[in-house]
Amino acid sequence: MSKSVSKSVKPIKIVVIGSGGVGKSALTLQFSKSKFFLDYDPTIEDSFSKSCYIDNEMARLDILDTAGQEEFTSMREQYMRLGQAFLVVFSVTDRKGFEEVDSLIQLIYRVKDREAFPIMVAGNKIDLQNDRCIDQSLAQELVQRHQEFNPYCAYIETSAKTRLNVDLVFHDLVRLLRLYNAKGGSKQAKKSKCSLL
Amino acid sequence: MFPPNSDSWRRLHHRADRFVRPSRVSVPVRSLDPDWCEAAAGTASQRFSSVLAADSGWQQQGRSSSLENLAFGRDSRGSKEDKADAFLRNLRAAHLFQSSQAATSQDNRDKLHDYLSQCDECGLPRHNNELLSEISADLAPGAWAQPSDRTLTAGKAVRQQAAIWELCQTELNILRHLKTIIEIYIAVIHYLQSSASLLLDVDTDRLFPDVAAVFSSHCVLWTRHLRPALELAATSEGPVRPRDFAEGFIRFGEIFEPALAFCLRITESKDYLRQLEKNEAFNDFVKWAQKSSAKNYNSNDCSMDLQLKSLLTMPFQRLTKYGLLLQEIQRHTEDGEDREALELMIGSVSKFCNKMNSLYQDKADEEELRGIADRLEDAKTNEQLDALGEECSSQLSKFRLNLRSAMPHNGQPRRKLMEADVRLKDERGKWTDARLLLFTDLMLVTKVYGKRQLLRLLRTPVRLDKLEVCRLDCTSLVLAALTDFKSLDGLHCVTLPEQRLCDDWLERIRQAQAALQSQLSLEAYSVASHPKPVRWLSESQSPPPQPRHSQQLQQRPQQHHPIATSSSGGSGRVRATTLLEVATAASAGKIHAAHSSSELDAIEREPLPQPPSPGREQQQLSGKSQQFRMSEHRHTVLQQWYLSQHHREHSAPSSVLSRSPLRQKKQQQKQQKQPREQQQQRSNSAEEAGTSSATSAAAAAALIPARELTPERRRLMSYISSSGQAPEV
Repeated sequence: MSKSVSKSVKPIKIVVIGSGGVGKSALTLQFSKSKFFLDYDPTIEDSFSKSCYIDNEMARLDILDTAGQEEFTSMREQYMRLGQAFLVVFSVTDRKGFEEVDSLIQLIYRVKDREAFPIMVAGNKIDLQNDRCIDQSLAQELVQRHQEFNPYCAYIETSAKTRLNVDLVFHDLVRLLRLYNAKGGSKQAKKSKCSLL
Repeated sequence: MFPPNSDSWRRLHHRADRFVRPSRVSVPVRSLDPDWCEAAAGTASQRFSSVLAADSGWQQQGRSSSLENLAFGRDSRGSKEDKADAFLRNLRAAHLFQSSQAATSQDNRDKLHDYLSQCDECGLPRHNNELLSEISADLAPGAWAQPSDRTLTAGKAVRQQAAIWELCQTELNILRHLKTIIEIYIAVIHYLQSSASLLLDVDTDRLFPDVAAVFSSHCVLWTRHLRPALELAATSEGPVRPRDFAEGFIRFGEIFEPALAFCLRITESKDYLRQLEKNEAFNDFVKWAQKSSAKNYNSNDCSMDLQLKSLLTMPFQRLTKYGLLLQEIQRHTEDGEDREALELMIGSVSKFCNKMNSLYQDKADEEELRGIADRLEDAKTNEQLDALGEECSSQLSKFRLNLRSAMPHNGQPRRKLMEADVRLKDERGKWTDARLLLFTDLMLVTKVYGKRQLLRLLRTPVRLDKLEVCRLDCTSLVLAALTDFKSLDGLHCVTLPEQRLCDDWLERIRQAQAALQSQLSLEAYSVASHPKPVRWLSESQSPPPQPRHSQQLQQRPQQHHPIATSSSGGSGRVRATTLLEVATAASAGKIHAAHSSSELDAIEREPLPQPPSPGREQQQLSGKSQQFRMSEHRHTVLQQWYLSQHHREHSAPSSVLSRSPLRQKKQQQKQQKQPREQQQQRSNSAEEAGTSSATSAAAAAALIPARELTPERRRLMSYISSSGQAPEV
C-alpha cells in the first residue's frame, strides 16, 4: 500500500446514512481505525480516507459519516449529493430505524436522479441477539424489492462491536460501485422527471 | 560561480530561467504582503545574478534590462513596503515587455506551476486574517496534547475526560480545515490573480462564502471557552470541567450566528465548484493545494480526506456534531452541576441547529418555487390577450399568476407540497398527459412541454378551500373546483400511475386543505376578533358527527359510484346534484372526500383529521406549538439564570477570559494605565456580584410579559428568585 499508488487512485466517496443511534459512526470508525477503543469510543470521525486493495485493485475510500444530522432533514441532501455509493445502516434492535431505510433509499434515487445506484444496506448490532426485533428475512425482503429495479443493492449483517463483516460491507460496496461503473451506470437512463415529495 | 555545463550550473540555470522568463510575469492588481515580496524578490534576483554570471551570452536586452530593474529594486530600497512596491513595478515592466505575446492555456498552466512551486519554496503569501495568525500556534501539530490526569481512577471520569478531549481535538481539526481554506486556497488564489492574472475566473467569494465569519466563530469558541478550560485544568492539575466551557455552548446561537450565511450558501458554492472543475488550471491548483495542505495536520492523520468538496462540507457538518459530542460528555458526567450545564448546552446547540435546518428548508422551498414560477406559462391568458388586441393586452398583462407573491390569506410565502405526472381526462373525454402541482393554498393542472420543461396551465388555478376531491377507483381522483356560490366551476378527472401515489395525493390534499382551513379561521379570528370564528375553531377541534349528510347519501345505494356514472355522460343532471351535495357537505367542513358510499358510512364514526397540521409557519400559531414556544421560553430563562450564576461565581464579567495568562497580563497592563477607573469598576463589580441573583430573577421576569404568566412559569420564577437554587429542568 505505497503512498504513490494511493495518490494516483481516484477516491470513492462513500456516504453512510441511517437513523440516529444505529451505529453509523461505530461502523466507520471500526473500518477506518481497525482497532478497538478499550476505554473510550470516539463519537465522531471528522472525515477520513482509507486505501485498501479490493480484488487486487487499489481503492481509496473517502467516507462521510452523517451521524448527528438525522433530524435535520433539509440538510440531508447536501451529503447525498457528494456520495458515489451509499451505506444505509439500521440496527436490528430498532424497528423505527429499519422502517426509515426504505424512505432513505428512495431519497437517494431522488437526489441522484437515478433509478439504480450502488447501495449497501447493513443490519448492524447483530451481537445483541436477545434484543433483536428485525429478522434477517425481513431485511432481505426489503432489499429484494429494491433489487427488482436496482441490481446494485445488497444486504449484509454486521456488528461493529465484534467487527463482524465490517470490512466486508465496505468492500462489497466498492464492488457494487465498480460493477455499476462498468455497466455504464452513470450513463443509464435518468429517472423520469416525476418526483414526489 | 559554477563551471559552465556542470550539473549544478545547469540546474540553477534551469530554475532561474523558469522563474525570470518575463512571459510568466504579469501586472499585479493588488498590493502584496511586503514580507513575502521581499522573500520572492530575493530568490528571483539571486537566481538572476547567477544566471548573468554564468550565461554571458544572454541575448535579449529587454529581458535583462527588466531583470536588472528587478535586482536594482531590491538593493536600493530600504523599507519593506518600498521593496514590495519595487517588486511589483518590476513585474509590471516585465509584463509589459511581453504583453504582445498571446498566452495559450498550456502556457498558463506552466506559469501556474511555476508560481505554485515558488509558493512551496518561499512560503505561502500572507493572508490578512489576524485571528488566524493569533491562533496558528495552537493549530501546529502536537501543540495540544490530551491532558493526562493520574489522580483519576474511576472509569467514568476517565471516559468523561476523553470525551471532552475529543471535543477539543476535533475543534482544533476544524480550525485547521478552515486555516487550510483561508491560507492555502483563498490567499494563494488571490495572489495568483493579482500578481499573475491567473485563475481570474475563480471568484473566491462565491466558492468560499463567508469563510472568515465561520472561522472567527470557531475561534471565539476555542480561544474564549475551550482553551481557557483546558488551561484552567492544566494549572489546577485537575480534570477539565464541563461548566468551565459551558458559556461557549449556551451562547452558541450568538457565537455561530455569522456562520449561518455560509451554511445557507453551501449549495451554490458546490454548484460553482462543479463548474470550476471544468477548468484545467483550477484543477491543477486544487491538486497542488491538496498536497500542500497536508502539512497543516498531524502527521499521523495522513488518512485525512482533503478534497475541496469535503472541505466545503465540513464547517456545515461540524455544527451538527456538537450536540453528539456534548451528549457523549454528559453520558459520562456524574457531577450534578456539570450535568445541568451540559443539559443547557445541548439545548442551545440543538436549538441553533433546528433554526439552521428550518432556514435551509425555507430557502430550498423558495428556490423550488422560483424554479416552477419561472417555467410557468399562462396559456389561456395569452390566447385571450392575443384575441383582444395589443391595447387590451398592455392593460391586462399585469393579471398573471404570480406564484412567488405571498399567499393572500396570511401573507406567508407559498410552498410547493407535491408534484406528479398524471393522465387527465378532458371535457371531451380524451386523455392527455398533465402535471399536477399542489401548493399550500392552490392547485395547478399544467402540461409540460419543450426542452426547458415549461409548464402551461391547462386549467384555471384552483383554490384549495374551493376544491373538492373525490375518489373514483384505486388510481383515479376527481377534482371538483367550486365557485364562491358552491356551484361547480371546473371538473378534472385524473389518473395516477399507482395506487400508493393516489393514496398519497389524497392524504396530502386533505392535509393541505385542513391546514389552510385552520389558517383561514385563525386569520378571521385575529383580524375581526369576532366571537363566531372562535366557535368555529373549537368545533373543528372536536368535530361532531354529521349524521344528516351521511344519511342522505346513504339513502342512495343505487348511485354506488355517482361520479363514475356521470363521467359516461348522459346523466348530467345526476352528476350535478350529487357532486354538489358532496361539495356542500365538504365545504361546510364536514366531509373531506368520499369515493364510495361505504366510505361515507365510515365518516360517521371516523373523526375528522386534526385541522392544525403541517405548515411550519402555521404551527407557530397553533395551540400545540404554544406549548413548544413556552418550553423555548423556559429554556431562555434558564440560560439567563445559568449565565448569571456563572458570573457571580467568578465575580467579574470577563472571568472566563481573564483566566488565560496572556489576558491576565494584558489586563494588568491596562490596570496600570488606568488604576483609578479600574478600581472603581472593581468595587462596582463586587457590588454587582452580591445582587446578581436578584438581577437575574429580574431579568427573567422582564422576559415574561405579565399577561403571559401561567402557573408553570410562576413556579419557575419563584424557583429562580428564591436562593439561587437550580430549578428542575
